[in-house]
Amino acid sequence: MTDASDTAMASSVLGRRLQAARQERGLTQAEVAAEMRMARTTLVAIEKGERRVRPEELVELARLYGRQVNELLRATPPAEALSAQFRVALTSAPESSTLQPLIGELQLLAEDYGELERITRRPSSHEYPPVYATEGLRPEAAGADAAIRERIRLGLGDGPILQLRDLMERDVGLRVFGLSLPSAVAGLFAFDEEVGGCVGFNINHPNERQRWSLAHEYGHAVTTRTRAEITVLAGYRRIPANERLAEAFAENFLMPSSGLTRRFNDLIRSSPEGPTPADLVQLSDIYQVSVQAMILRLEGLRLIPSGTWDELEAAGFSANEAKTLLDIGGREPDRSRLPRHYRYLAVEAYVRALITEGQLARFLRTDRLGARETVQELMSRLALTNLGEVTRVEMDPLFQSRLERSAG
Amino acid sequence: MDLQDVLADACVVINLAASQIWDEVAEANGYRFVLTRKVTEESQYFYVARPSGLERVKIDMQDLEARGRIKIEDPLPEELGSFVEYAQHLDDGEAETLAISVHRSIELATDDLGAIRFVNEQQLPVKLVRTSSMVHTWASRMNPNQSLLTEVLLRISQGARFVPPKTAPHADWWVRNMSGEGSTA
Repeated sequence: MTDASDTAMASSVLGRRLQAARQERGLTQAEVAAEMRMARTTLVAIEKGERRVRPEELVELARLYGRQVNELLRATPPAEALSAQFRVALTSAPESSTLQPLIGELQLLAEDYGELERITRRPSSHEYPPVYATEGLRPEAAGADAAIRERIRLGLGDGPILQLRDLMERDVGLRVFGLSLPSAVAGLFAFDEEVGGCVGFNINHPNERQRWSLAHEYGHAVTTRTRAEITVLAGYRRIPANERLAEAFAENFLMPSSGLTRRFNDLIRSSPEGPTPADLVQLSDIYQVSVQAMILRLEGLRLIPSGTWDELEAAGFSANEAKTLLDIGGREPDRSRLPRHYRYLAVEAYVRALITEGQLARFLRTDRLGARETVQELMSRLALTNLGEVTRVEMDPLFQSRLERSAG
Repeated sequence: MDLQDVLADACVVINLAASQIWDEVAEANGYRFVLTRKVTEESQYFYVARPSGLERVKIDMQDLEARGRIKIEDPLPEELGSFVEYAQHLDDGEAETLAISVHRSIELATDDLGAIRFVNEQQLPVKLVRTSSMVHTWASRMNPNQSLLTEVLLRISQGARFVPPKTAPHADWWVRNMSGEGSTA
């Protein structure tokens, strides 16, 4: 490629980034042009990549848009696809004005993920699971079928899945981000060939709700992948077919009928009078789902009488009180916004001196001190001493040698 | 005493603030630090050990500026071209600081390995100084007792989450004295 075409491409990419940054700031070309004391046609030409932006103009535009010049100068075009996909879903979502910037955040996070892969030269393989055919099946049957096939594909057996987020990130290749979504919104899903499959879950929801939401979005990823989804909690609207399908996927993926039936029958054998509410609470804890979800699942499998949950609720049953009595501690919600692999890539890029500390802090959505703490956390390893005690060993030797070579 | 202007990036500012002997280190080295506005915005906190645990403390830039310990500068119009060029690779604070350093031939205090790598690869005419060198100079000139030296190094380690990498000047000296094992400079 010639220098001239390189320059043209760089101007084009910068122009698109400037346009995306302006739009995200909610500014019109006329407003920005007036602020910049330039003709609107000049700004149009800059955004089209037809006119080179001068350094002082770029600095001023970055200030206006609240962006780092460093971010605007990235070599790759902005990932606008996700926001575009959500436009339809947003029309029927509650609190769409609150959701809009969060979708923008999801897109930026996905873009940063790609940038880290580019910097470290560790591209994701993006070997996604197949899209399972759902035509001709009821949504509930299609969701259950996809869940069973997906468990078989991953070799998961029929037991509980404890590290669902890790599984989705590591084995399925989805990019899972924690977002501070409105309380009525459980999760988001969107897919783009370039960016990959992205899931956002609500970091403010309880742990069991989060796991259900993750499984639900996973269901979208293997069935209605090309359609962006905003998952709203039941009670806020009628549940359309694709949502019922994802719900069925979540139910069957988290609580597969064969394994659950076996565990339930084991319970019956040890308590011939039938399962007590305490048994059901313990079962829900094993599968890390809510007590309500477990009881409704058992009703659906006809292992307990239909209406059991309604009766318990009418009798004043409280799952939280039952857990306290049984000394079953509630699991902490997942508050981590960034995928584990994303954090590793960011720290690796920093340790290899491929990015600066300021860039690291931005990738990690924290300040300098927070970034240093993350580096220390990931660079130290847990190890067992010869006395069997867990100790923390400073600095991974591989990282250390990379560090030394890079710093020269 | 005439102090030499030395640009400092956010890495160094946090380290020096965490040492809690900013003035002493600056004087022992004969430096007054020049910070860009972006650097003052980015270098905000360090930890201080309290009986109740580590407490996040905000770096008081106003106080440092009022006492003449820092000077805040923005890049001049003729430096913006270099800033934008460097910002393709470095964060804005680092790129601004480097642009000023190159244009005004001012020494640059940094521990940022990304920035150091960039300066070396681009063969930029910049003289670099590291936190470990500055603290070592303070220790050599002021000859603090071992317990104070160890305490200062621990403050930086805990308060800024910083220990110089093995490739940094005086890294062995730092680690030895942080554990209180030797006072030789």
